Amino acid sequence: VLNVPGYSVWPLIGSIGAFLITSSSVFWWHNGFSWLFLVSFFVVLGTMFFWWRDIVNEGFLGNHTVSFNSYLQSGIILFILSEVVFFGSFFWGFFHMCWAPAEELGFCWPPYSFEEVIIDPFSVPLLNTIILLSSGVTVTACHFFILVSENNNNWFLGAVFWGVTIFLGVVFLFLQVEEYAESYLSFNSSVYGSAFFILTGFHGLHVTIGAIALSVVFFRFLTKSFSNFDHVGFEGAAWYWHFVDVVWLFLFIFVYWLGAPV
Amino acid sequence: ALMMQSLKLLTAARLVRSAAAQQARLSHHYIRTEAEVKSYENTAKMWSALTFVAALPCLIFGLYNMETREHEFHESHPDGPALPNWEWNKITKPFPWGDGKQPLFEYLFQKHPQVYPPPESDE
Repeated sequence: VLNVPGYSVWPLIGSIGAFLITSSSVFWWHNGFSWLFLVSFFVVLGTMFFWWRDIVNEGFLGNHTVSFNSYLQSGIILFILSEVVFFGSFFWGFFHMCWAPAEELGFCWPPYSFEEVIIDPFSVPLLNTIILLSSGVTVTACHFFILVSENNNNWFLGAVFWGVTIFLGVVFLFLQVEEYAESYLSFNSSVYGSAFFILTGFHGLHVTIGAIALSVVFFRFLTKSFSNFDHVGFEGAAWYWHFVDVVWLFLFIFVYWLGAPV
Repeated sequence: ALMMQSLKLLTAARLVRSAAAQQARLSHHYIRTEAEVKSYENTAKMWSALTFVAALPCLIFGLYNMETREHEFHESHPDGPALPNWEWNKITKPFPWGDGKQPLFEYLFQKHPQVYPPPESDE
């Protein structure tokens, strides 16, 4: 017997908001800033808040049995899979360009004359790799502390490791923004700039989303929404964080390290 | 006939085992044995030990390595890195912010040029 919640208005509103965001963005790029973009952005944000609040409330009403939670988890996994293919498309484009560099670039990758302005992979990117891997370790520690938290110190320790994870994510973002600001390259720096910044830019956006997700779920944890056996929200946020970490590993190896001159 | 009997016993045993395993999987979330709880606690202690023993030294090394490399680069390039070819840096359509001539992070932070003018001698 499937446990199907009732009808909801949020899917419709969310899809209208997503449509308006994309079309108003295009209008912005052609005709100057559009207020509809701001409105539609808050429509989507509001949908996320209200839809997920509905799910949380359904949990308090008792809908979140063990088997129902597995459906929620499947949904989250499918979303993460969609993100995987999203990044896959940009990686495809990057590999297409860097494994067969065009004549205009000087038949080499990075393009001719770019050697000194690309980011040294073993400077900040290596530190960022270590930061994200460490945050993966702390989020795992947090998970296991939550699993055994029953009115003992483990709840507090879980919260501490959780805070450390979010802090490491914010440090990563800060370093990336500093790299972008200090860089001599930008999006229009030939196809190298396009490929590099679309990949690292979307990755930075996903780290931001992951950090916000972890923070929101942290707030729910601190207000005692979770138990030591029912914390699907935390598991989803933690999986998303691991996914972001894996994408960064691919970025570090193929874009920063192997995309740099020997 | 003996073979058929033993085969039936084996399939029955497998069914019973899988039913018991599924029951354990579904119920173990909030009905836990002491051994389970102990194993979770040990794993938690292991991962928290790893953060101090493995993650923290690697972070310190990463920080030190970054500072050293940046310092070496700035010492060896006092005038900054050699800028790339302006030909691959042309703006053919204005950006949708500011005066349209600056990429986003050059416009926001005003640190280094990210678009270079053509060399005078050529034009």
